[in-house]
Amino acid sequence: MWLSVESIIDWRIIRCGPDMEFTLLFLAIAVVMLAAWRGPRPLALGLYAAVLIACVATYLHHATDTLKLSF
Amino acid sequence: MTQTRAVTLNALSLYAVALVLAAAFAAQFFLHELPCPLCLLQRILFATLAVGPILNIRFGPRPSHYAMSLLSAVAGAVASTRQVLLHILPGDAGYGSALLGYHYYSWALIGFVAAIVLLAATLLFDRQFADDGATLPADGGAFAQIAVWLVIALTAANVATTLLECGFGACADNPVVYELLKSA
Repeated sequence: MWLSVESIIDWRIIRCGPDMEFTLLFLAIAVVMLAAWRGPRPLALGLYAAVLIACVATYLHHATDTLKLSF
Repeated sequence: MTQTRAVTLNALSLYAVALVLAAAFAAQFFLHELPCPLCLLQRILFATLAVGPILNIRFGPRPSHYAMSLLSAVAGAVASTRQVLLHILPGDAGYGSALLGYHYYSWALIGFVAAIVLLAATLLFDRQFADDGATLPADGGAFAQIAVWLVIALTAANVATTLLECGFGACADNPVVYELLKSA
């Protein structure tokens, strides 16, 4: 059976999804901690900034659902 | 507050972060409650709170290190507020079980707000940023070193448990099984 264009697009959206995002974020913050404890200070600051931006991006990705507020 | 006391205070804050991460593990393993994606994000942001104190212990207290923890605490407060709002409707049972009347994300919000207040209060003490001539113990001494390695170990343990829970794909919205153990 031939795949429709929509199916291909859906498949790509799924494949571009944030697989293992939380595992990678935990790994990244562990690396930042090690850099802060043993590495040069600028490296730790740079890695920290990158991880925080990744956390905000992950939050925004998961904040796309409609909030069910009571007013 | 002297530099030495500030370093001790930062080590204590690392033990507080370790306690939060350990409590989350306790709920996960003893109550069999798997963390949802937003719960994992809040754990990660608690872990990022520890980077500022680690830098303070190693390089001495600096306002920029406290600012890093403040940014993490604000991001964590936003994420936990989001989850509180998701379950704010009357009749909503909330996600997971409650501890002393509050769900974990409510405790997380309280924890992040407390961190913001404590960090701001600590920044009021200017003397910690001045070189007072005191010789600081290498890497903060044994008390601080244990705190640092404890937080790093708990974060590394979260890498393993999150991989077990989510597997190699995206985490389930409402996880009930460990993905890697299910397919094993």
